[in-house]
Amino acid sequence: MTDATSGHAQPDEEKRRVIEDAMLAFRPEVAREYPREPPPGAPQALASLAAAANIRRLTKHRRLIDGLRRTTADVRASVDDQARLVLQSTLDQDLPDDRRQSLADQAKRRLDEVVAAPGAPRLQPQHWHLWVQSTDDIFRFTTHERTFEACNDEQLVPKATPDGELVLSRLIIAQFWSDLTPAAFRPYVEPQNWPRCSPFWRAVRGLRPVVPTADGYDWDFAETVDIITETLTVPLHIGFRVLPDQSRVWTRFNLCRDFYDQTTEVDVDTGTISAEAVPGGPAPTRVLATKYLHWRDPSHPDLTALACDFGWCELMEEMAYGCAQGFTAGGTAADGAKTPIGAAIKQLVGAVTTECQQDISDNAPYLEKLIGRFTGSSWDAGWINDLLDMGLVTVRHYGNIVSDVRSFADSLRDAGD
Amino acid sequence: MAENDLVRLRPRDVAKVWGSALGQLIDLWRAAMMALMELGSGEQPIPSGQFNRFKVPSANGRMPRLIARDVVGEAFHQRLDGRAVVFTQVGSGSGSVTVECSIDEAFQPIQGDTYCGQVVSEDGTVVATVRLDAGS
Repeated sequence: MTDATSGHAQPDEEKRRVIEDAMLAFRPEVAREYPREPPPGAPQALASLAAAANIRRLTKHRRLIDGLRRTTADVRASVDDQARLVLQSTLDQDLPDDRRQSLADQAKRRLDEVVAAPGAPRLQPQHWHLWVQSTDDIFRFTTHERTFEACNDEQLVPKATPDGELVLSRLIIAQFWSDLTPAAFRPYVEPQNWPRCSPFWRAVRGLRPVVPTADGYDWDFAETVDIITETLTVPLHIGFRVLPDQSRVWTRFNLCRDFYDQTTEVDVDTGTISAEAVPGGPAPTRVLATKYLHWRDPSHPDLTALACDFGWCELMEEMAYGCAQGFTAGGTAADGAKTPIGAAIKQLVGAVTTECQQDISDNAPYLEKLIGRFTGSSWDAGWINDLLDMGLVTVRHYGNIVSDVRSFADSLRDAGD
Repeated sequence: MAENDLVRLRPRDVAKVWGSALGQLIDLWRAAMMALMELGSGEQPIPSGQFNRFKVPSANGRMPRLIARDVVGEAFHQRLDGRAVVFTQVGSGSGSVTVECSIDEAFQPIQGDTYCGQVVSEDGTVVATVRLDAGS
């Protein structure tokens, strides 16, 4: 396995700075803790975000909503034009100028509604759902954009350090669904490609040779991540695996105990990145990333508190577009994945058949109970509960079928000649 | 549209139109359903895989004695002692209980992995299969 470093150092550095500034401008407490010159101001940060052609639409929209929800009405009013520019930069560049202007104005009005929607002063999943629903006619979101959920790091979970001590570790979790197969995400799941996907990953350097296994390989490497002004290097032991039927591709990573020492800044770093065929979801494949992190030295600022927003989420956003499509260089901000019609028909038939079979099988115990109530020695009014249970099971499965038909409709709409 | 234009229309071209229309109809239906379902609900966390839930027939209204067996890591194949799996009753219905299970991280040193295994009742009947994230 060759070592990997970020392919284009200068543009990557610039890209990371633009993304970070768009966050720091609305999070003064973080900007104070990790100061850098010049300090990012909201108007300039959003203008740079709008101008960056190599930052994806998903990243731009999410940073914009999150930033505006975190700030005051006055600041929001002062960056009105820049917010509109960010939205405009994510529209189809082939549209006539007046049409783009009018769509950006429409999108801005809906952005204002999402920013004012109830909830915590940050981007939460319900805000993203609202944004996607209210602007799908403007942006025609792809499946992975529509279903993107990140980054929840509020939960603390006990995990053992290499010294055997149980510490409350931050659980970072993000996911999206895709119309692509799990195997299409192989490059994304393989750690040596992470620096090519995300400007936050500076390098992945092998510590030992790769050890092939029956279903993948094991590897020890040092991962180096840049976050704002800080650099974090962690030794990891990973198992990369592919199921024989290709229905799941995943990497499990743990702290590599052989290379863990007093200089390692985290004492818990474990988790999984996987792409898996999951029937019943909004699309055939679920891409999920979980990571448990614990900062070792309480006397220093806890960098793991930023890992979710600064890095992990961006890696997922970037990989949703780029890595799954073979590292296309310089993709436009409005691009997305498409499924050929033949594959879409196959997926639809497979999913509907599976759902129907599952529906019949899940209803069997309730049906058995229901019939039993009418053939027993006395009348039993509990049959209504059985009917309700069957109704619930059926609604769930048919809801899933509707999701499958929805994806199919998208494939038809987006199909080329 | 001229007659010749109609003849040149392929099923795929028509499908694009009804694909878009169908998509919008379903979006409307789903938006209405989502709005109904989200009434009163808070932010739902993405499942991390640390917990599994399943239903089993109750024993006198309570959770029966359950044992985990053949609990093995998917990636690194470490075998866990079944006693590391903890079961908690989290609900009950007519004749059944809902059980939540997870792995006790303090029970033994656990290599980070997704652990799969079977849950059996006292008489050895398999009542569920579980897949749990644990270890570090």
